[in-house]
Amino acid sequence: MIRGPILPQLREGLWSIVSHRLTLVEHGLELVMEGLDCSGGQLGVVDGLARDAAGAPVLVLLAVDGDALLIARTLAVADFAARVGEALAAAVPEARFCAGALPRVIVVGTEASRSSLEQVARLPIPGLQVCRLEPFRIAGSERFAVLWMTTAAAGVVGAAQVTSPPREFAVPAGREAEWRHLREQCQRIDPGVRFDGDRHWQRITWNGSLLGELWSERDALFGRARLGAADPLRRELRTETDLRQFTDRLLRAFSLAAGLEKTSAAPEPAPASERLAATRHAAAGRGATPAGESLRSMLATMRLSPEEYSALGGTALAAGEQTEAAVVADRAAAVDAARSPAKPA
Amino acid sequence: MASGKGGTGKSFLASNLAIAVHRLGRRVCVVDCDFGLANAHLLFGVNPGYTMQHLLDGVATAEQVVSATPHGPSLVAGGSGIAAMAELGPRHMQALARALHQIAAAHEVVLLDCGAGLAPQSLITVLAAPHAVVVTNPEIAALTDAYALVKCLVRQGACPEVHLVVNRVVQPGMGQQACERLQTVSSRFVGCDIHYLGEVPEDPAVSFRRLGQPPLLSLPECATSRAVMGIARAMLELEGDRGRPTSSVEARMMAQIRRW
Repeated sequence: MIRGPILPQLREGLWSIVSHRLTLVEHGLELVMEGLDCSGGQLGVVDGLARDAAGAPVLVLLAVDGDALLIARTLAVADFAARVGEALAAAVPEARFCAGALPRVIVVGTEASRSSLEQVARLPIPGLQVCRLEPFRIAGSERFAVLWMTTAAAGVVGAAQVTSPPREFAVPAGREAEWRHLREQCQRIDPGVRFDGDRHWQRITWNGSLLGELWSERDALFGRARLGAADPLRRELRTETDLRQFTDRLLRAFSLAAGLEKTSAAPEPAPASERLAATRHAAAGRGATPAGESLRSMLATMRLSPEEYSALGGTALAAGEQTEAAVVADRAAAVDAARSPAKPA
Repeated sequence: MASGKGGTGKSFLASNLAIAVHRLGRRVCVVDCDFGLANAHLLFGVNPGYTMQHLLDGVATAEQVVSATPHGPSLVAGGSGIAAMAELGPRHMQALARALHQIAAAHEVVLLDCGAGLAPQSLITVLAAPHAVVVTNPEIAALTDAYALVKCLVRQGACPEVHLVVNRVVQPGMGQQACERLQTVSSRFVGCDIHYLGEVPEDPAVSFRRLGQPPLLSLPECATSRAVMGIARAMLELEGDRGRPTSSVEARMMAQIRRW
């Protein structure tokens, strides 16, 4: 059987595929609007305006075969992004961009437009990212791999390096120390622990097994260890305690992946839920290390934030202090009604 | 069975749930871990010769402190009114851990009736269990304290699965509403998923009953009894679905005691 290219070559067909899968190009990338014209119609339009995981605007350009204006359009778009800067967020409020976030440009193409992409990748434009989609079929379904031709810092790479350069994780401001600490801890778990991903999302793997994920949202850093299908617990990594608990869970995931867990208890495989329970309780042992936070000190520092109080009280509590009294009064009235002689005692 | 606030009805629920679980065919034991203010033996209407105090003092063994009740479940009575019991140290907690291990081995279901609040002794006993049933009332104060307890448990890194029972509900559905609020806040701020077990209605007939006459036996058809039976079934389903943890209760408690 003869098959043609899996990805369509016409702009409309390619865009219909790419626009629905932007999150594969970069984790959290979401299309918000289409057809941005920043050159007075002379150079065509930007195919998509997207919002990344950090809430920053991303101008997405599509490169197709025979697009003679691609370089000129890329230059115009990059110039527009630099000129408009953070004002773009205010100008398109419906896109809900994060205030103060600067726009950047991503050019997406296919093998057919490879030569054009390589030329674009050589443009000395800060922040420009260029990627090529490599289609393939697996189990009867069509997929595409994203091959980056520039680094996040817009360092231009040669064609020979096309598939290799990992993109740097955009560590949220003020979270650099946590990021460094986490990487150090993971290296202590095992030198084979790897980080890979994109600007806003990183996978933590060991020997091909997924141990956890790490991602940034706005200015916060989140992590989730993969201890099983039933472990949806995601944690914001703010304090040393958060980091320690997260690395504890990563260690646990590592011991499961490496088969170290088998030596400890069950003679036969336990169901996933049971393993989860065991996981939680075994973690207690690590919490008991001398370096760990003591129970009393943890209790001494336990506070509920005003946001937590407010959320527990809902809108009613926020409206006034008498809400709790009103609830109690309602309850007392209801109890009195229930105690009335008409009711069986 | 735990709560952030006192007086939410933990001991009442523990005793009646134990009877319900016994009726559903399980070998069940209630351990009154409300050190210093224990009252489960009053609810069961028994006066055991040995209590938790004897166990912790080394005077009695784990087998000796487990006493039978006329309603079916076994009971380990606490030391009511003994001030020293409220300030147990690590050595006492280790003794308790060893005893709980033996008690757990001899029963299918063990209900730990823990003390209210965030004292280390209470937390350690809660963290020893694979499932923590937080008992609260629909009022804001009780909900806030329940959330504080959940937050504390989650921060331990060895958090049991958290379930919620809303007691003293005056209108049907209030428990669900209270739970949804707590679920939202817990999920948003501490990433904890709380499982709702059910609500127990406020019932004057139950409130004014005599001690030693659990409503499940004296008023089996009242709304409270029906609700308790429903919660007991839900709890046993949990046990069936999720199985027992492979690590022992003693190991889990010792891990927490080392952090004291």
